[in-house]
Amino acid sequence: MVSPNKVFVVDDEESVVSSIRFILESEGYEVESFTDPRDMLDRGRQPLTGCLVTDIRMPGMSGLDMHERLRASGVSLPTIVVTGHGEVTDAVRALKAGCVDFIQKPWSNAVLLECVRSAIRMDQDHRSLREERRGVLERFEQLTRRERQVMAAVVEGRLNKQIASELGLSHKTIEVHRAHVMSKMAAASLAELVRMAVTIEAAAGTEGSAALR
Amino acid sequence: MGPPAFQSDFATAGDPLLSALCGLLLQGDLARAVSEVGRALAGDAALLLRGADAGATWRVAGGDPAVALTRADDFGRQGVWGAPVLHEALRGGQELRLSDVSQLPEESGRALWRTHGVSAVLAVPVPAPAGAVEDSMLAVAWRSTPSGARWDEALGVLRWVAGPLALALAPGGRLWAGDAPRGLAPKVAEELTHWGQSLADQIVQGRRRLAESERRYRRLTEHSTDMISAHDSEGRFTYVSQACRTLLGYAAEDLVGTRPRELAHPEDRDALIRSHQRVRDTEGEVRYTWRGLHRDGREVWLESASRNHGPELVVVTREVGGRLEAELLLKLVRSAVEQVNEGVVITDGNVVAPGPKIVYVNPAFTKMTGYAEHELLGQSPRLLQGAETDIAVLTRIRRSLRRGEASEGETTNYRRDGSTYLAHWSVHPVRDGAGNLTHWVSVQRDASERRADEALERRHREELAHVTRLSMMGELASGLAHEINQPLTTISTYVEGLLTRAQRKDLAQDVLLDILGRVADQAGVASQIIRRLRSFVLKREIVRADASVNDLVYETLALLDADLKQRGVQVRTEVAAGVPKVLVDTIQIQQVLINLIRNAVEASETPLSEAESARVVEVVIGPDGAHGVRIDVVDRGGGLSPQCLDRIFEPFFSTKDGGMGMGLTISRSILEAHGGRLWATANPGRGCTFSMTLPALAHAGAEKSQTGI
Repeated sequence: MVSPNKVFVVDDEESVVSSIRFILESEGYEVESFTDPRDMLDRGRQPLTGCLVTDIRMPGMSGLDMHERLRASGVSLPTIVVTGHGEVTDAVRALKAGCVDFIQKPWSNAVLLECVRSAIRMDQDHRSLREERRGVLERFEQLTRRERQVMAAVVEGRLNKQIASELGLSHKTIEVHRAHVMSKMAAASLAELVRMAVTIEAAAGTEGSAALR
Repeated sequence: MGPPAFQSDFATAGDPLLSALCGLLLQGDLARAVSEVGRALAGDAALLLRGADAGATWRVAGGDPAVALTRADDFGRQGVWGAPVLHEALRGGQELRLSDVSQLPEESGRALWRTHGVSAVLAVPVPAPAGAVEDSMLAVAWRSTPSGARWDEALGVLRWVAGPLALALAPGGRLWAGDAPRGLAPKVAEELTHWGQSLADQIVQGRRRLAESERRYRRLTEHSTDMISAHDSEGRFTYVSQACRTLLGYAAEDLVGTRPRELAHPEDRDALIRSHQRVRDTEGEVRYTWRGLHRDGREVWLESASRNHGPELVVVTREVGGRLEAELLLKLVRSAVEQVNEGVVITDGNVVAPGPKIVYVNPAFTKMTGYAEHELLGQSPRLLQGAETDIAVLTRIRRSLRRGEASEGETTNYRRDGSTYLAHWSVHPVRDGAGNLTHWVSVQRDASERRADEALERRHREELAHVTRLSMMGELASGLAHEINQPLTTISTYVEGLLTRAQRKDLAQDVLLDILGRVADQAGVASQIIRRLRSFVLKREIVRADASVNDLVYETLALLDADLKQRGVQVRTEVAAGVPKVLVDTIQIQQVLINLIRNAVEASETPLSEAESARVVEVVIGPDGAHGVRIDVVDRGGGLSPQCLDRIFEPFFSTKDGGMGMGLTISRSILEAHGGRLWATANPGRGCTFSMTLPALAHAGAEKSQTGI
């Protein structure tokens, strides 16, 4: 089982790695460290949780390159970039690449720890969000074609009467489908059903309710 | 026929001396006749000698009116006439002409004559008349040799007198004793008259011819623009032609009795005396050039041709052609020599102890040495040497001087006040027309100034190297900041961590010790970086020490580490086995290495070199021949055009924006000061290679003393 409190540290300087390990472990984090970015890439083949702290300038491969490759291979650990240079271009590039934080050496431990804490929280949030989305999609998969049509019309705010005339069904039949949609999707309210529809659309990457159909 | 006719005949022949002598001889007054001969010839002594065995040798001391014939037994005691050469001539019946008795071999009687002050002797045989047993001889001696004309005249007179003398000494000589010519036999008187008459004619004609030729000779000489002079054995003028007035401003009378050397320029006096000596020792003509002093004080360049004529010297002297030009040139050269900053010393050609004598110094030399001109003239240049003067150099110079060769060297010399200076000498021989070495010209430079210049140049180079190091540090600053940041970050991280744990009372002793140990390590790393930095940029004395090239390269890469990381370029080092140590100023050599490696790194960064292989710089360390070390810095960057390769070592040439263009110039001068080299070549593939060499430790010593670093 993966630990939610895990921090991956990558820096070519052994001494830096050791000192970060010391304070993180003091705070109860589990630390896994690498002095070669390529070893971290290998590690990224398994599912990972927690966060990543990496130096930006390293021989062979920069921290940002490593981060991008990890993302490409599906590892989305919140990443904190550490730099001794603190150049604006580095910071911009890091944030654009989706890194969550950017710290300069020498850091204050409090700042580093806060960054790590929030990164791990972010990871947890991401993970629960992903869990929820997966649930919605799974439930959506259970709906019949007719139920999906009804759901799309409902979340667009149509009345049952309108829906019945559009689909050429009786008002009564629409009511039955609607009740099935609400129960199958485990939506307590119309508002909740609308939120789920948004999630589904986002996952499908389409605009409007087309995805639902 | 009587004596008056005799006398009158001789008298009408026009020569009072001859007629007087004849008279005396006819009267049988041998003693007076001989004495008169001596007096007439201005001789110091005149003598009539007869065969020693006859016991009737007579001597007449001439010059002294109270002359007396001396018996043969007194002869030996008189000494002067004991000279064997005289007796040999007497026995052989030969004339004896000794214009310079000092030329005689010792055993001939030279010493005898010398002790009596006799310098010339003329003797003619007096043949034994009919009935006489042995020959006689008439001799005249002089304290100083008569001039050529007088000598010839003396010979003529003696030969003439010998005839009547022979008759007078004939067995019938009694006739001459007493009242001659009363008892003279008519036959004898007649014979004598004829003989005397023809002889007298000959003499008179001879004298006339002589006088004529002498007149002609004088006319020629007096009208010649050349100065014609005759000199006695001492070199004194016995005659000088009128040209002496135009040439030297003196009247002939002023010069007779003086010697040419008194007219010569002081510097040429010795040479002139030597030339005269040469004339005496030579059969033919001798030519020489000398400077005379005109009465008005100016110098006159003269050329003389001299020849021995018997005891006297005949000299033809003329002014040397082109004298004015020569004088002008001399003046120009002299003023040039007076102006130059180099000291110029001219000495005579002597090289054996006490060494050559200084005959000329220029003002620069007196200024350099602190001596006044008159204190140096006549001295040997050895005057300038002292305890610190390098004997080895002097020995070498003297050896080439003795061989007559030009020579050069540097010695420590002493000024008049005892202070020293480093003199650079170059000495050249000067030879006369005959190839004889006459003088040495030496040019001396105060090399202390040059040494000082070299020291100044070295200081400039060091200053420049230092400034360049500072600017290098500026360029490396951000990388170095990172370098120091690393340990500082680590330290603060550990310490804050410890604080947090301590506050939480969650700090075990072993953890504390472990972490403090790490903190101390990191502090060490930081101070090591600072030390390296400081030693690199601090201004300090140049110190050479033996060093390993590997260590030098390692230290350099440590300084560059952050920069390399920042630029994402790797440096690979290859070291061959058996690389010798070097004697270098480590900071300066590191500076060169930084310069070369950073150039290579920057070249590797250019957009042309995106390929991974291009982002690697190789440093190859290996031996250079048998006695050196070579380091190649190879990049795979964009390379340099041939035009650039030609110019990169020029000052202020840079291919980089904002580059000062001094890096490679300074690097090269640093290596050259170490006896090494630096050059660049284009790689066959891409990029270029900068190669540097350094002499190995065992061979660096010599370089050290040469460059003075």
